[in-house]
Amino acid sequence: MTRHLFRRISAHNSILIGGTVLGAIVFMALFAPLLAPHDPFAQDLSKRLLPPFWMEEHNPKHILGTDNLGRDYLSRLIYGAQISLMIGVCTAIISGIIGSALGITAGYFGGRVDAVITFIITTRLSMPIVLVALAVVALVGGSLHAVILVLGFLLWDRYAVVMRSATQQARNMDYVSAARAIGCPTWRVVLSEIFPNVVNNLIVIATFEVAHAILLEASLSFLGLGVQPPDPSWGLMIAEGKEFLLFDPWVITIPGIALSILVLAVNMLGDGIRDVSAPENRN
Amino acid sequence: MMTPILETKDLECSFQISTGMFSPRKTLAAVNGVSVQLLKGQVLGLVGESGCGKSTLAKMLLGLQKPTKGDILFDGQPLEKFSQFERAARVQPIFQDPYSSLNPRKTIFEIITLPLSVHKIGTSRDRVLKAKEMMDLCGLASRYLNSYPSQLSGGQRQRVAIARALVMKPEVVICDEPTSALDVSVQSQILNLLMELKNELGLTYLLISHNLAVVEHLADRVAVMYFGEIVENEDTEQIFNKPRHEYTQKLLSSVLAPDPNLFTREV
Repeated sequence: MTRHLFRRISAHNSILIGGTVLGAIVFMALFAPLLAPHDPFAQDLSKRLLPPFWMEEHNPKHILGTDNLGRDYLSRLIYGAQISLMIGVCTAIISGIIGSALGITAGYFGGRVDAVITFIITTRLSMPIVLVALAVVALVGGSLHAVILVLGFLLWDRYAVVMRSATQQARNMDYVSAARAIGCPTWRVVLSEIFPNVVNNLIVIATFEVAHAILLEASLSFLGLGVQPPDPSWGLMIAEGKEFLLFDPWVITIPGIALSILVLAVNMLGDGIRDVSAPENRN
Repeated sequence: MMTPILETKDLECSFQISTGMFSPRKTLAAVNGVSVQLLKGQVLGLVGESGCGKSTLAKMLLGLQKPTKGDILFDGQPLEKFSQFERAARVQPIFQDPYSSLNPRKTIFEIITLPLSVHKIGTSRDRVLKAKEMMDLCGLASRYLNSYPSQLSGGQRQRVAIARALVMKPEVVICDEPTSALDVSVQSQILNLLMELKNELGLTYLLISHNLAVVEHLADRVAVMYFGEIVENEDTEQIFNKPRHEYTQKLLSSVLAPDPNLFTREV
């Protein structure tokens, strides 16, 4: 079984590419203190806005140049991966727990419970995420924790919708009736009969929500309401660089490319997991 | 006269159907005043067209659906008196489709011993032995113990479903179209297995089927269900040779025979 799975994964290009790139970024984030050539917070005003390696007049000590306060851009990029990944993963976990609890409850019990939860989902879908996030963060003050919590409590809708319909399908299978006829208590039917059969949806949505949360954090930080300086978030780096867009466009290009690569890698991995774990592809 | 092992008295199950926001709710009686008796060691065939309430009746007997009226008596005592565990130890189902009745994420061992682990019977070593014993009884090689359902054929899956149903040693087994999802060649194997197990373990079957030939072959008595009601409940011979009710006559004449000249029934 595991060998089959391994073979399918290794034959799947987008899992390989996405997984490798994401793995590299996770490695970069985990070992940031060892990999970063400089202190990401150390300012040196005599070395402001040094250009990156592909331009003339670059400084070989700063491969990707320095920002407007003379901080090493590569080091900030490496430390920034920590923040992006932490926000993505934590948000996906919080919203995943909320969304799948709601979705499975609605799907399994149906009737009134389903009507109430569907109403909650519709209410949530009618709220513009960025506006609500902006309002809440403006109220409680921007910080890493605030962004994670706000996004976690906002991004559960897709989990709830997908888990609800997946549970509705699984609930009508005969193995659920068999478990109930055996005398299985409801919590056990849900946890051991239904959950294992809907969990692959959860993994797929989780990857997409990681990408979604990373992009939203970048937008919030860009608007000045996300991660606060001097923390090196990629969105914040773009925000800080926007004044220099005209003469030093690389200040924005570098974190922008990093962000796109990360989101692309996560999405490719999610796509691949969906292909591999789809029940119709099994055996 | 033997006391029936399982008996229903004027069993009713109706559903409220809303036809729109402003129109009044309608009541649909899926099962309407059904009284049947299962005698120990017998096979009661239940036939009828799709949607006549056969499966709803089966669900009520399994405790999966609450009856709106009437009683289900087990050994003369109402079913509600039994705990979930006692009920599960007496009545177990075998479902139609062995592709949806086995959880695809569990091994055969986990599936067969689920009743034991839910009711905390035996140690894990006992359970392995018990699973092997049940697989042996149902004609499955024990090397499939750690396989997943997707690695088995339809017939093998149905054998797993039978093993799971029998692991609690129930007295009554409700077979809801046990062979209709299987290949013709496998159908007879499964039916033979069911009959062998019945004789060996002294089981009582409620056999729900569309296949009249199967019912004629296996059942001791046959109940004919039509629009939620039992229209005829007689010995098998009586039903197939001298059907009294108009619906039974129609049902029997609807069977296509391989050679109509040879197999036409006197109606």
